Amino acid sequence: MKIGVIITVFVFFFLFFGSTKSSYSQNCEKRRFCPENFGERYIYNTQSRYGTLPMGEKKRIKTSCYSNKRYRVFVCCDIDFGEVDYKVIKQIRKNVKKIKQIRKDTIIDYKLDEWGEIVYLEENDYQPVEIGRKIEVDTIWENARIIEEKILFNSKTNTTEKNYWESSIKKGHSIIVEVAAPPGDPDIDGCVNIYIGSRSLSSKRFGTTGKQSLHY
Amino acid sequence: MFYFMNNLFSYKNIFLVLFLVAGLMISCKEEVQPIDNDNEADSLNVENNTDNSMMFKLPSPVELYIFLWEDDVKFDGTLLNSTETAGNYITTYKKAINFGIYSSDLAYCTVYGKNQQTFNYFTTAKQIADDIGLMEGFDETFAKKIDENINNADSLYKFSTESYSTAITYLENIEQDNLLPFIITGAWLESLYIAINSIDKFSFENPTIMRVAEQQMLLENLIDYFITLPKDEQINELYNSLLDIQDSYDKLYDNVEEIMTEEQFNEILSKVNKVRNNIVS
Repeated sequence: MKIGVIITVFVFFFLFFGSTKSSYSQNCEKRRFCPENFGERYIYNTQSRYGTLPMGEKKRIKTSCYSNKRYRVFVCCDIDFGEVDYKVIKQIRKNVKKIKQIRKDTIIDYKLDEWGEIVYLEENDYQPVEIGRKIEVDTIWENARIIEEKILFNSKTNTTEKNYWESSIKKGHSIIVEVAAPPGDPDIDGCVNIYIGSRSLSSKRFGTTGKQSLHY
Repeated sequence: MFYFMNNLFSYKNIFLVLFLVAGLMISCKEEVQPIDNDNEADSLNVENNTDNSMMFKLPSPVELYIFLWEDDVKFDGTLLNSTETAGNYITTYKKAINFGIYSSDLAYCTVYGKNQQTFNYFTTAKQIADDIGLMEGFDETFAKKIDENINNADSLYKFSTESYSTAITYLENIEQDNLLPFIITGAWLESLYIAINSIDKFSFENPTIMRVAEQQMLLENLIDYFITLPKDEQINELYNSLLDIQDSYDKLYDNVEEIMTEEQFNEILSKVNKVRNNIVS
């Protein structure tokens, strides 16, 4: 019977270890990492995203940055999960003119009289008299929408002391935060915090009290 | 039965079980593939399609209301969707989108320190949240916090914005987030409706014009989000309404110096009013 108990313990042991394969990702929406990066007066509540990411996977999150605001973006995860790499990419949508069609028309010049009218001669069977030809090129344009992307920050190649992207926005634009989980077993998820914080450049009323940041 | 148990726990069977478990563990371990994470260009990439794996996060409507407040735009209570109409919304779709509208109205009231209206709009939003089964952010705890801080504008601002963000974060993290597109569209549309109708007279110098023009990027992100959604009748209807507004916003790309002309402003105003009034009716 003792052996039965040992086997039961053995089976539970394996079941337990089986379940801990994804234990990095429990309660991810409530776990917070890297509080030292919050900075002063930033509000993270409205645009940040907290969730899970499987090992070896990439995710992109797109948001908008208003003008006349200062933004700080960084990504952190559970230290046991590994290290996430991330890029902040500026996205600009533009309408550009593209050539839709180039039309070539042959224009025939006819002999004209002194009043500028086409001459119809009897010896030409009352047909207009051709005196030359030229090719006229007509370019037809169309509007096409393109998206330009520019990498503003790459955590892998960042050499500054700041391990986050921070910028005051003069003209509003969209950004993409691209997050790459550490390589490994894709069955293992980890908690990842994508922090997108902003603060007003002109008013302090709707910031936080004193130098604190707002996050939860 | 006892004989069977004894047999089951014989050494022979124990080794068999150990062997099987070890075999399973080995077969479940997959080869680790290194991720290709450096296909970046140093300067510019160009692409045209919408990425289906992309997640979207719109700034909260409260940010636009803060801009209005900072630009000394007057509070206009007539622009709010009346709390009395909340009982008229029957379908889940109507309730979800008007929950977004009421949440946005709630944010507008809190930014302008309208405490009694903040309380009323929180109560109405909570009532609809209960109906659609959305407890996160609009539960009794938040209701109590709002109730206890009815005379404290800063606390009301903090708790009401927190309740909206909590609700949205919750919906983003659950798999059945079919309410989310309606809620965020309702909230965004209401903020644009309030901002654009707060402009008495068009003027290039009016800072609110720039804020209205900036909504173009939010609309584009919202439309990109809709492209990734499975389509049904309600999604299609809302998507087409957004595309109609985008047609007018697209004309801003042709502007050289001014951010928006009066004609473009009036066209966007008319379309926003039409879509919003259709939603709240």
